[in-house]
Amino acid sequence: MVDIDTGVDITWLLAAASNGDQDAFERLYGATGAKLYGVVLRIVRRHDLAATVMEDAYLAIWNSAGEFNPAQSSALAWMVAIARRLAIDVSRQSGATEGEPEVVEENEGPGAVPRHALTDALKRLLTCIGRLEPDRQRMLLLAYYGAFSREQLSLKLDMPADVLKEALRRSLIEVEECLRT
Amino acid sequence: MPEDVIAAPDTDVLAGEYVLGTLDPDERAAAHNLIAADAAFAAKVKVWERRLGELHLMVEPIEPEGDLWPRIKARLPEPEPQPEPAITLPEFNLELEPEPEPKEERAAEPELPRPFPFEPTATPEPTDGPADESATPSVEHVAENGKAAEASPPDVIELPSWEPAASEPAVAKPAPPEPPVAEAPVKPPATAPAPLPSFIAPKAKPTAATLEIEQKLRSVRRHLAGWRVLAAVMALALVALGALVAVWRYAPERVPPALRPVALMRFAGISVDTGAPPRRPLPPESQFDE
Repeated sequence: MVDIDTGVDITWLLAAASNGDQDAFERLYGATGAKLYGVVLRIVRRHDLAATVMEDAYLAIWNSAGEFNPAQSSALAWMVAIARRLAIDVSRQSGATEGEPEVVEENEGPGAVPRHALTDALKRLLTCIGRLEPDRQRMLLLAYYGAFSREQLSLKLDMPADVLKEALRRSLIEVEECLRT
Repeated sequence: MPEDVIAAPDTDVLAGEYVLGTLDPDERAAAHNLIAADAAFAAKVKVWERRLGELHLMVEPIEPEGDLWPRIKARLPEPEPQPEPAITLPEFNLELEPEPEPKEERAAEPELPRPFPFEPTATPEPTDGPADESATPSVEHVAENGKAAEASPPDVIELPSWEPAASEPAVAKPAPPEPPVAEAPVKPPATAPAPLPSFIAPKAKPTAATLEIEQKLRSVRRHLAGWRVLAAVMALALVALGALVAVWRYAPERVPPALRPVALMRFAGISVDTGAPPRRPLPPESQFDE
């Protein structure tokens, strides 16, 4: 909610941060921290790892704020992409989610989006994902929100690994084709 | 044929899976190398990040622990951004602090007692000059001092956009009530509160305040310029009228027909028959004479 209400501010704050304004960057953190933490925590599933990823993510955001192109995506989506990338790296490197106890309960499905918060881009994407078979929809969303490896996904979805791999591949191609039209 | 068709989307799928996060550690490491080596693949990753990016809207925000920001802040480069405010602000503090009082006195003395004459004497230059320097250059100073990091000017300009809520009310409130008053009294109040908040207020705020004041000064000056033009036009009209009267009096023959008193009176709607009567008596007289 915070992010949606302050969508314009985030772009401004990011621009200010790219000019070295630390006060603006602190405000940017205040406006986006909870969203990024939610994204990261779903992937690494441990608060200590999530905090480390957050540090790295905001440092990366600070360093590359000048590269953000508002014509290509929303500022928040750009920040989330950076945080996700780092979170996935951590979850793969450490194999953390397997050996260590998971502090955070796994939350399978994504939360519901309030209708007013639906952007056109998200509507298009959800329309395209909605054209997939139901179990593929679930697979794709689970993959995105949890960033599970194919191995983990095949266990969760009770699908043989090679079937899952092909399903994932076809789903991505279909979504891409759908978004292009 | 079929191989090409399959081969092309495969890097697409790899990029998509990279963004989704379904690659295993080895595949992900390979994808990292590919991103570094192959710009086309890196671009595909960006495209997928954009495609799937909006899905974050469906993630519930979770408040991180409170000590997270201090940890992030500790890792930010400190020296670069801090010197800017630290150096620039003291500078125009020095300029402002000694001047505000003399400025007010100067502004009050010449302007208030003589509402009219002060206009041609160009009050803005002596009185507003200092205020001007403290307002406009404050922005330029920031720019000059920010040479090393040229980032600072945008900084300064952008700040007001989100600062106003905090900083402006103090500055803005005293000023608006004044403008409705005549042109002279506006200035002292506008300049007087200006310096105060700007050196009392902490770091970023003075710039917002001075910019605000600068704008107000400009509008006041524009207002004054209008009055000055009006005064000049009136003076010209007066001189022209005086000249006309003088010519009527001392060299009536030289007055162009359109500007002769009779023509002007006719123009004003007063019918004057002075021209005809004098001529009529003449012919009969001459007849009689002959």
